[in-house]
Amino acid sequence: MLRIFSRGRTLAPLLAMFVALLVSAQAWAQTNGMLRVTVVDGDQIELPGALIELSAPVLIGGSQSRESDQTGSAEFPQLPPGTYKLVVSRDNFGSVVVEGIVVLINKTTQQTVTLKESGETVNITAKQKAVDTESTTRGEVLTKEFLQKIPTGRSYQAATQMAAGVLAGSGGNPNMAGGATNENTYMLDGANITDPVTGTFSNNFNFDAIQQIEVLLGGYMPEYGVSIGGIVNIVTDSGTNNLEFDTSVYYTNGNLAPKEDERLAADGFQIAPTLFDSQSLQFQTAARISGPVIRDKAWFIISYQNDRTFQSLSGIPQARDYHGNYLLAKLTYQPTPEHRFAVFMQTDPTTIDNLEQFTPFIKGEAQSRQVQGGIITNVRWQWFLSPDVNLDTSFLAQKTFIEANGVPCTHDRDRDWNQCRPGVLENEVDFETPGRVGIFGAFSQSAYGQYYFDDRSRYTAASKLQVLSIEDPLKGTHDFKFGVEGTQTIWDQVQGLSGNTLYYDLNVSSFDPQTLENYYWLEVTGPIKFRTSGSEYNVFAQDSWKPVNNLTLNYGSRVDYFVMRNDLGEPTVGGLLLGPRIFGAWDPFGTQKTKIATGFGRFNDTGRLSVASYTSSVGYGNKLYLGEFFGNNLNNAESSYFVSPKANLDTAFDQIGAPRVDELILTLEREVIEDFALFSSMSGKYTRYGYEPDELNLIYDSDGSTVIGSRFSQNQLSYGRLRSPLLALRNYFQWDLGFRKVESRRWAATATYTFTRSIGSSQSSLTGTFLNDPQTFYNYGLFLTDVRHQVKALAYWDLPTDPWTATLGFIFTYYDGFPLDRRYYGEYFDSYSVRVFPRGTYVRYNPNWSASLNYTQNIDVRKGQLALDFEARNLFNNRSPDVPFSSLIDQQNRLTIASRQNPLTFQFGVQYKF
Amino acid sequence: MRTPFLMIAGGLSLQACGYEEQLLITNLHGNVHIPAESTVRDVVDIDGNLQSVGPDVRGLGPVYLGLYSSISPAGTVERYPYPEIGPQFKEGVAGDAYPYGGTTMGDLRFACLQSLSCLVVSGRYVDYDAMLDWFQTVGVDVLDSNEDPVGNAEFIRQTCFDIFNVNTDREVRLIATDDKNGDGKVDEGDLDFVYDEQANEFVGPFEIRQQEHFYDQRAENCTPGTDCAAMSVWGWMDTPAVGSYRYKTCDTTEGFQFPRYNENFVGGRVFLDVLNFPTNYIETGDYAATDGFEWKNVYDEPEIYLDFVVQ
Repeated sequence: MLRIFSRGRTLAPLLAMFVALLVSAQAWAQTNGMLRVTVVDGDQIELPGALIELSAPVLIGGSQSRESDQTGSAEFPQLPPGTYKLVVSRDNFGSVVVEGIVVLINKTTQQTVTLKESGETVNITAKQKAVDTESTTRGEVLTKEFLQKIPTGRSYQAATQMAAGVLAGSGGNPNMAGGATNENTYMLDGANITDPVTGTFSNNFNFDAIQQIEVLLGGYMPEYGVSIGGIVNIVTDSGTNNLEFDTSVYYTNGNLAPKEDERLAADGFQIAPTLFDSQSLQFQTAARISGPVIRDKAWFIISYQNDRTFQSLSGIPQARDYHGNYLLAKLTYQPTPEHRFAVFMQTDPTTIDNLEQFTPFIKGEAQSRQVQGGIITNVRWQWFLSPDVNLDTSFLAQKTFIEANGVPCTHDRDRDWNQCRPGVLENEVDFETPGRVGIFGAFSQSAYGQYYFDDRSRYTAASKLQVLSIEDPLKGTHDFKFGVEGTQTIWDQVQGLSGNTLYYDLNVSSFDPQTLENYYWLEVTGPIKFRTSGSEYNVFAQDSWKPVNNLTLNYGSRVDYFVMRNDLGEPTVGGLLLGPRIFGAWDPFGTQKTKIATGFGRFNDTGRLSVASYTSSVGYGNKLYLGEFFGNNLNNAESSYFVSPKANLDTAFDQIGAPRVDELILTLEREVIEDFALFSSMSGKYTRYGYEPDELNLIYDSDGSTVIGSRFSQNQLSYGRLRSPLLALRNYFQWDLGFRKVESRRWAATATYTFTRSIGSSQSSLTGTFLNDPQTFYNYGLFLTDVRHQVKALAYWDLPTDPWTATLGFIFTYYDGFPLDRRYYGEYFDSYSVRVFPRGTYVRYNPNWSASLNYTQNIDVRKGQLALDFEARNLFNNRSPDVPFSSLIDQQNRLTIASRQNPLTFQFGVQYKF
Repeated sequence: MRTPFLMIAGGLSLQACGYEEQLLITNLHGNVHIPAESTVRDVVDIDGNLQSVGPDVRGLGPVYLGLYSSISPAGTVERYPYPEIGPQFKEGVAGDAYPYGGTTMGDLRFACLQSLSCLVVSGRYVDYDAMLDWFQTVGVDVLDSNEDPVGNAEFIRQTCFDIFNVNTDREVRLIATDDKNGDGKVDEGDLDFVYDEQANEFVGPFEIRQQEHFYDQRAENCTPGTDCAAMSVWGWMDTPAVGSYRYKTCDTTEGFQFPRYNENFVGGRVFLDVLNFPTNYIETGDYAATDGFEWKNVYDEPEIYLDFVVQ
């Protein structure tokens, strides 16, 4: 333990800090855990001088050893998450071997070892604590073992849904702790990999490469970066000293059960049965190999997963064919105990082909084919200046891309459309031939012709200095962390129409192809290329202070400076933000069975490039030509034209700020019987100053249904001014009540009842809430994510079927229906766009519930193990609508359901590993 | 060690509260006064006798309120008080008044029957009976799709429910539905305007939401939003035409599309430039404010008197 101001080693962290500043770097989320061992004798008196040896397959560099101090304690910080083994011995005492100690991300595992004077060796198996008395965060850590035992759906996005406080059914980008779908932060091995444009997740990867997932909903410290929603912190495997290999095949079929749904009126009245096909068919193959390059010094892991998914759109079976290839490779090298290097690469190229379209009037292949994916490279250097001081420096380069374009042309004469022009090779994308769009049953004769290239990049350099276990004059201890980071984000877009022209055809007599004529065509400028960019510089400092053994105070702050520029290079959004936080956890009885945690934190949102692009000025200019239809004396109009390049109507307010969230938490936990704890956790989150544009030009009547004037004398145009008004707000309250049974006697379970209330003006940025001033009154109300009551229960049981090992896993979820809005006719908009009632008060969906089951049978085979996995999701085929935002009350007052809960889905998998 | 840590954390918290937009934006509240005589009409009763009707709140047309640079007295820009205008590019074509904001008191609303297109203003009727009664009183035929007279107000309501697919009056937004004055019942006191017998005028409150305050940038020795020269609130009422009872501010070629069976028409909507070019819509018999209310202090609550009868 370091004593502050008293040892020559004090210079080391200062030097390291200086180095950190020089290299300019990013604060990384915690990817390690800590183990605190307390050695006592049979009378529970602390034993100093005991030798403690720690080892684990995941611990590169070999085993570590410490001696217990005067309090009988020893700490092992910066441990990779995983399962560890302890050997504790002392002169005149025997030894104790403790196995199965689980170290979790960002947690301190406490293990008390009792040495007896009998001299014999005792073997025991560790148990996880039911109450973590030192943690102030709200959230959970999901381990690889846990995820393998419950029906997760084999994706980290689905696994995140397991955590209480994550809005059930909110999809791959969930609403977490009251945040919007684009307000979460996704981290991979500590690096922020959130999509810099949309604020959503950006990458997929091999599920079996996940070591642990930390799902944070509140109370987290500045090192986790900026996030006003939740944090998904994924830590992947790094390998071991053993050569390991596993391969698996999973087949998932969601098409076996009946999918006939009810069509409901808003009041729940059944109108007529209708088929709603939300089909899903998936083939997943994966392989992973890991092992030593140099024993104890260099490990590698290579992981590959191939996903082939046929996912339907509304009412159209097998309309989309997703084909993803996920490759992850990591090399970890620790040449000396002081230095550890890691090089990480992950890529996920995916193609999306269209088999059928939204409308039967367009051929399936006619719409754009989409290719997307990304690549992440991360270089990390951890410098362990001493057991308690280390410098963690990383460089991240992330690039994601989306390419959507017309399907390749063909020489196949049976295909009467999209023939390759002379000189154009088969399967070459044709950027020259104009696209054609059909009207009134006129089949599109070719691709739409729209193409779009989208490249998003993030470059980050970061460094974090950690000085742990500093003793202060009052005998308290501190874990200091200080970090600096710099990030550059870039969004390049190219969009256009093939041949800069788009034809519109129609059947003069509806659905009669014999009467096909060209209706009109547009000639447009293009292609259009533009760039939006952002820069961010951040500093944080934090301390975890334990003034006494049973009290932990976490406090610190971030300082974030950011600026985002539109396509003209103008700085449109930016700010200098402070994010102070102070949280405390108290174990009032000092028995590690009770916790009271509370605190306050401010979390700032440094935005997304999609916000800055609101003020982009690019757009098409176009010229309209009238086609054959108009030439057939059906209309005597001559070819005419208009040119309307998009003016930059939208501006950014020069005093723009940034959204911020103030959070208050209160958590009570108590282990009431062995391994079984009850908990109550409350969180209030108050978001202010959301990014929203207001209307500068149009003046509305008293209810906002039509326009009566315009400030700039252009009553057909809306001029938005991007602001961050105080009124762009939301208030969120969440109360979790439940129990947790940690694994013992072969089973574990957790059940949580969650009450939430989510109310305000804007659930996410740029909703247009303030574009219609009279409507602002109605725009304040319950969000579609205001799901009052939610229950999640998870359990698994390792069946006593040795030597074969079988596990039964179970998940049950229940949640209230989402509130729905109804919009009314607005004369100006000539559409149903006006609110008459406050947001979210019109009607709610019916409640949604589902149960899922998982059975895994492990079979020892020659040189390895075979795992047979069977999973049934939504066992009772409940078909309630499960996704907010995707369904509407239409103008006929009917519930138009765009997304149903997935039907009963079976998954069969086989995994072999050695 | 303890004290410095707490001081730093506290200091950071305070600094982080410092951000504000520095924009003068508020919900502008005030009242509009309209002489009761504006609703008095001579009508021919069922026996052919001429009789006077009113004062009656149902005779009030839509009131348009705008925020303008300044208001010119009658006889300068127009024969009636009129906002300051921008350049006149063509002789005989009015210049744009360039409003800074505004609202309505009573909206032109499609009342679900073609025969009522451009005849109905919201906030004037307690119920459908009052609406039907008014048009019967002033001699306007309310006809159904077969051109037969409508004799039952419930027919109008059900027609509205039918075509808009709603089941409450509030969704239709034609009649009074909220107990605005809090007297426990929905009646005439909950309309946009209430008759003040003592002053012999109709008075109604208005609200312009999220109005940005603009002041004279050249003004000196004053505090913006408090006492600097600023824009003025001004308005007028579109009085229904004699005979047809239609409103000139209503565009009969736009609005709700009604394509059903033998009916194919649009429901009408207000012209989109009413505040920009009031002169295109103000005509004899309309009531305008003689003076605008200069909105110097953002906390002011203007009283607007539509006391100038356009001749």
